[in-house]
Order: sequence, then structure tokens, then C-alpha cells
Amino acid sequence: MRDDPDLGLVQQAQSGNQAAFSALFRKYYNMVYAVAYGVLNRREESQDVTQDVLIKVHRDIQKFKGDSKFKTWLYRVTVNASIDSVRRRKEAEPIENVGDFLASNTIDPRRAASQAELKERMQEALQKISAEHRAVLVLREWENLSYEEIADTLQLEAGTVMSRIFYARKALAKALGIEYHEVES
Amino acid sequence: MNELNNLYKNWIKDEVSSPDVEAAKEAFLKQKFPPAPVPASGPFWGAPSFRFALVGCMALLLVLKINPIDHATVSDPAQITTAVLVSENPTPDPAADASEQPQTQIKKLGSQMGPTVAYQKNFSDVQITVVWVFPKGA
Amino acid sequence: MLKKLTASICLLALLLIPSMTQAQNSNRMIVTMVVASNNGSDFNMDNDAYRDKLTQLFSYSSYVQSDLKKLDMALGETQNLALLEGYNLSLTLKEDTGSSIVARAVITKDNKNYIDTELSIAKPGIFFMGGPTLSTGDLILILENGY
Repeated sequence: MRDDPDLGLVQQAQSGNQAAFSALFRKYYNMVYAVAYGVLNRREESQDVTQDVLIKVHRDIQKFKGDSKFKTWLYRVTVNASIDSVRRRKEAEPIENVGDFLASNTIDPRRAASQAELKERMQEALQKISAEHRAVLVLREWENLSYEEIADTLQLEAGTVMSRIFYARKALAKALGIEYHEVES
Repeated sequence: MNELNNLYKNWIKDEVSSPDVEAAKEAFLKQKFPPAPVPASGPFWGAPSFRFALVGCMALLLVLKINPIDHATVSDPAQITTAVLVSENPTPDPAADASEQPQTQIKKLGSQMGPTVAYQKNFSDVQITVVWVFPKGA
Repeated sequence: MLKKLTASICLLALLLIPSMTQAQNSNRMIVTMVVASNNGSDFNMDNDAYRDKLTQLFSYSSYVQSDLKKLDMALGETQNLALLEGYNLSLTLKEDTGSSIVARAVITKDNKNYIDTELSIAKPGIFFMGGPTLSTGDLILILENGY
């Protein structure tokens, strides 16, 4: 089995230790949510998917054989669940209301306004790329995975990962009105 | 690309650290996967020796928090084996593919500021040579 | 007729050889300056291809690109490049065979040699120089030859 820092907790969870599950999910909830949100760009849907993923992992923990690290397996389950959720969406569904964000506990209205504007711009820009592209983007830019790790997680070729990230960044920069260029090589 | 990178990271960071998201997380975890309760008393946890050890550990942690140990930035290049040039393929096979031959060869390496090391690593697409100095007093 | 033809060919050769040599003498080196540290986990590199290389070669948690310069060098030429916090890179193109070069690269600060190296590098080829300390981490230079 690979050098997996979660090995002990996973083995305890597989033998039915609920405290081990609690510790694992508390450790990885934010990671799962961030990846789901990176693909889905909607809070409520991301929360639903996150909870579904953790419940699924709890139910299917015996299916984890240790061929990869637990975290890699969790990334894969999360990305697949998120992409499935996108596919189930109806086309007519509106994008999440920015007002939901403003209702949260922010004190400075100027900061709230700029955060809301950023959120709206980013959501609109991300809708211009596919869920598969958003998945590699969040794994690379937020989770800081290498191309090889992303390729291993999503069972893609490293070249496919690279080209998806390049395309996603370029499309995002264009949608946000940011100048983008790769260094000559 | 840095601007794009920062915008994206801030966007996700703001969402993940949102109070509403945090509250939903706590509610879900407490409901579905509550932590197992730790007994406050009992033959083991309540033993005076254990309590004494626990207090001692907490005191040590408090001391370390007030007087943290300084960790200097460590420059720790990977795979150093000797003080001079190291290659992942020290005795290349003449029959080997030409692309496996060293693309960079060090003719000279030195420093007035401390010991130096050079090493090479073959990646799938390129061979990279690293020359490194460990400045004294750094 | 034959004499005229021979003279023309010789004249053409005399005109072409210097320009061919000139093309061979010009060599491009791209120098990327990176600040590596264990403060945080920022990873900001314009050329993303180096992310994996850096994480496999070194054990820092953060790599931030500070600047990138392109140097076009003639044979025998030395170019100086101001780096961060008073460090300076001096690059000399000593030989150019067309498929490889020999270059001398020296990092100095306050008249002290931090790294003085001479290497033979293929075209294209890459080498890293690093170790000089900065206020926020350590300096790593990525030098790309012939790209």
C-alpha cells in the first residue's frame, strides 16, 4: 500500500469505528466542498454533493482497497459526483442568486459589494467552460495537485490534464477580461 | 496569470470560509458523524498518574507556544549523494538512447560563500541540472 | 565565363559565411527568478511546466516567480542581470557549437561570488542555480538555453 497518512484512520473506519469516520470527514469536509464548489459553482448544490459524497464513502468504505491514497480516492469520488450533478441539471435552472451571499455576516458593505462582484464575475466566467475543465482547474489551482496526481486521480493522460488546464485558464482569463499569456518554451 | 490565479483562489477561499458553509458543515457532521464521547472518569483516564502526565504535557505545550522553536528555512535539494556532480545515471550505457546522455555537463563549480553541490534529475520530458550553494551563516 | 562564375561563387561565399557565423553566435537564454520558502503554500509560476519540477527537486512549500528576462547573447559576450536584493547574475557565452554552448554563470552580491559555474549545455537545455538567501526565502534561478 502507498505511503498514506490516512491509513490508520481508514483501517479503523473499515472495522466499524465511527469515531474514525468522524475524524476523517472532519479532516476532509472542506476539501470535498471546495472541489465540489469548483465544479458546481453553486452553494446549495455543492453542499448537497458534499454530504452525498461523505455518506457514500461511509457506506462504501470497504470498497476502498488502498490501490491509491485515500485522499486521491476521495478526490475521484467528489469529482465524479459533482460532474454527475451537473449532468442532471435542467438547462433552464438560473445561476445562484448573489443576494444569498450578501445575506451572510459581513460587516463592511464595501467589502461585501466587491466580494459579491467577484463571485458573480467568477461564476459567469466559469459557466463558459465545461464541468470537466472546472474539475481539473480546482484540483490544480486550489488543491495544488501536480499534473501526474490529477491524471492519476481522474484516470486521464497527463497531456489531457495539461491541455484542459491550459484551455480552462485561457477561457477564464478571456471571460474575466484579464490578459493571459504562456511563457515561450 | 498570477492575477487570474489569485482571483480564482480568493473566490474559492471566500466561499469555503463563509460562516454559512461552516455552520452547515458543523450541523451535518454532528448529526451524521458525531465524535465518540471520551469518558472523563474511569480506572485509566481518572488515574492520578495519567492526570499528572496530561497536565505536564499541557504545560509543555504552553511553554512552547510562548517560546516557539525557530525553524530556519531549510534549503533541502532532493537526492544529494556526494559533494560534487551527481547524476541519476552515473555510468551511462553507450547503447542507451542518446536522449539519456547528460544534456548539461559541469566544467567548474565554486563559491566564496559556502559549500556547493551539483546534481541532475531526469524527468520524462527533460533533464535538469541543479547547482546549489549553502551560504555559511544563512 | 568559368572565371566569372568562380569569382561570383567566391564573392557569395565571402558574403554568406559571416552572416551564418553571426546566426550561430546569437544564443537566447531565458532567466526566471523564483523565491522559494517554507512560508505558506503559494505557487505562482507563469510557466506551469516547472511546478512539478520544483516540487520534485526541492522541499520548499512555496514557490513564487519574481521576474523573467530573455537574454540574446553573442559569442564572447557577458551580460549582467540585476536579481533580487542586491544579487547579480553575470552570464558569459564562451562557446557555441550550434547544438550546445559553454557558458559561465556567476551569482554575486557585494563583490562576493555566491555561485561561480561553467557548464556545457545542450540546445535546448535547462539548469537551475540556487541557494542565495533572501529576506523572504531562498533564490532559485531557472536558466533555459536555446528555447
